Amino acid sequence: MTALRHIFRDPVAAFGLLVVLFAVFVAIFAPWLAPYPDDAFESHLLQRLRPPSMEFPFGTDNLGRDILSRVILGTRNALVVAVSVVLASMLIGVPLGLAAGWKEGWMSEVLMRVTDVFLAVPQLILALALGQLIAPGIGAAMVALALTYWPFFARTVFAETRRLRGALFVDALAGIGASPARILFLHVLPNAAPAILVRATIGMGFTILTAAILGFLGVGAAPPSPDWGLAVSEARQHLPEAWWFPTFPGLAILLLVLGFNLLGDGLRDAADPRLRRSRR
Amino acid sequence: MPEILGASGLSVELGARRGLLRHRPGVRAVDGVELSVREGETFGIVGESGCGKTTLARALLGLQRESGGEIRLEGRSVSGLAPREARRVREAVQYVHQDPGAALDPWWRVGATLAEGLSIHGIPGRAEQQARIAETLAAVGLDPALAERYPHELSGGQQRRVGLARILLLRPKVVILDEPTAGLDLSVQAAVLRLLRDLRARFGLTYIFISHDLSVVRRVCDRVAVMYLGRVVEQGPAETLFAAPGHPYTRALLAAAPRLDGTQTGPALPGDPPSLRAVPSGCRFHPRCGLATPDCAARDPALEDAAPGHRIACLRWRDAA
Repeated sequence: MTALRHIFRDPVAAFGLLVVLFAVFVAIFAPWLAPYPDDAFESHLLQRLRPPSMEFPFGTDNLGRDILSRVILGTRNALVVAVSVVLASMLIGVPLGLAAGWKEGWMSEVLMRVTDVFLAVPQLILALALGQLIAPGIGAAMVALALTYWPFFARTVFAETRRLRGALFVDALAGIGASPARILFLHVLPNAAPAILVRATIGMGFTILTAAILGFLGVGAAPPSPDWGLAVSEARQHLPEAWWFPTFPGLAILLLVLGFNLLGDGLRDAADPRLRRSRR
Repeated sequence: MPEILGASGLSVELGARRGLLRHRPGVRAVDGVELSVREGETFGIVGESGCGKTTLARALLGLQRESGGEIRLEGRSVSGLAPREARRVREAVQYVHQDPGAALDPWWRVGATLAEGLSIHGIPGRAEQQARIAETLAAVGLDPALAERYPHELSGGQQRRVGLARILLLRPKVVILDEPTAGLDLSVQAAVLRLLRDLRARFGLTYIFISHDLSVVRRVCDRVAVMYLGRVVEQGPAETLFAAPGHPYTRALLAAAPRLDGTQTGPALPGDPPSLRAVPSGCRFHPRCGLATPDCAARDPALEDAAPGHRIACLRWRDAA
C-alpha cells in the first residue's frame, strides 16, 4: 500500500492516523477501559464536582459521575454518529454525483442545482428545525447532518466523474464494447475512490464537531447519554469553579476532530502528489 | 482483393448542440469522405493535425455517430447506428489509441485489463482467458509475467505492445492504428513497425494507419489517402503518391517534410489550415494553393481518376503535373 507508506512518512498525518486508530480502539473496548463503566447512567450525588484526583483522574461531574469514564464511553457515540452520518451522506451523494457527472443534459443540471440548494442550507439551522419538527434527539440530529452533508459527496464525485469521463482509458473501454455500467462501477468509481475517501475522512471530523455543537445546543444527544458536547453544555452552570468538567470532554472533541482532519489532509496529499504542500 | 471496410459520402458533425432556446450548429470535421480499404492491406491516412483523421477513425469505429453517408463492413451496410449498437455490429474493427499509457486504467493490472476485453466479448473462464492472454502477450513480444504489473510500471514501448495485445485478444479483422509511432525513439519505432508487420501476417489483419509522419507512412503503407479539412484530396498507391503527387497540397506536404541532407526543402505551406468554422468556398485548399485560379474559389472539385487507382480532387492537377 503506497498510500499507507506515504502517511507514515508524513509525521503530521501519521499522528492523525494514530489518534483515529486510538479512538476506534477506545470506542470498541470502552466498557472494559472505563474505570466506572456504570457511570454512564448512574449518579452518585455525594461525590459531585470533585476535582481531579487519583480516584477520579478527570474529576467528577455535577451528578458525581467519573468524567474519565464518561469521556471513554462517549467515544463510541461520537464515532457511531460520525460513521453513520458519513455513510448515509455517501449513499445519497455518490450515486447522484455519478449520474450527474456521466451524462450531460437537463437531468444533470437539475441534479446539480438541487445539490447547490442543499449546500446552501445552514447545517445547524436545519438540525434545529428538524429537532423541533421530529422529537429533538440524536436521531433527528443525524438525519439533519446527513441531509446537509451529502452535497459535498455529490460535488466531489460529480467533478471526478466529469474528469474521468473524458479520460482516454474510458474511451478505450467504450471502444472495446464495455457497457456504461461496467465503465462507471468498475473503472470510474475506483478511480474516484481516493477523492471520496479524503472527503469522507474530513467529513468525519466535521460531523463529530457539528454533533457536539448540537449536543451543546440541546438538540443532539439527550441526558444521561455520555455525549461530549452535552457534557460541555451541562458544565456551563458550574464554571469557573469546576474547570475540569467541560475541559476533558472538550479536549476529547478537539483531539478527535484534529485527528480526522490531519489524516484527511495526509490522505489527500497521498492520493494526489500534485496537491502536496511544501512542508519544510 | 475485396473491400473489407468502406465509406461513401461519410460526414461527421461535431459539437452540434440542440438547446431549448438556441441551436448551435456543429462543425463538419469529416465532410463527404470516400474510402475503400481492401482486405489485408495497410491503408494510410495522412494530413495535418485537425484535418479530421482521428474523427474519421472514430466514425469508422462507431464511437462517433456519423451525420451522413454510409459505412460498409465486409459488404454489409453498418451505418446509422447509435454508438453502443454500432460497436456491437463493428466488433471486427478495433482501435489502438495514440497514447497507449493513458488508454489503460491506472488502477487495473495489465492482466486484468486484458481479461476484461475477453469477458466483455463473452469468453469466460479464468483458465481459458489466462491461456489466451499469455499467448497474445508472447505474440506482441512481451513477457507474460508483465500481466502482474500496473500500467505506470511499463515503458512506452511496452505500453504500446499491451495496447496492441488488448485489441488482438478480441480477434479483430481491421485495426485502426492512431499515430502508432508517435513519441517513440527511432529504435523502438522500428521495432514496433516490424512487430506490426509480423502481426498483420500472423493474424490476417488489415490496418488503417493514421499518421502525420510521412516517412513512416511511405515505408509501411500500401495505399494512402491525404486529408485536408475533412476531405480526402488525394488517394492512391503509396509509391505513385509519393513519387508523383498530384494534388498541390500533397506536394506541399511532401516538400515540407524535413530532409536529413538539407538540400531540398520545397516551398513551405503558407499560412495555417483554416478553421472548420470558416471553410473556404470552392476548393478548400485554394487560399493556400500556389496554383489557385478564380475558378478554384467557385467550384468544389470531386475526386477524379488520374491513373488507375490514383484519384485526385483538384481542378488543376493536369497543369500541376
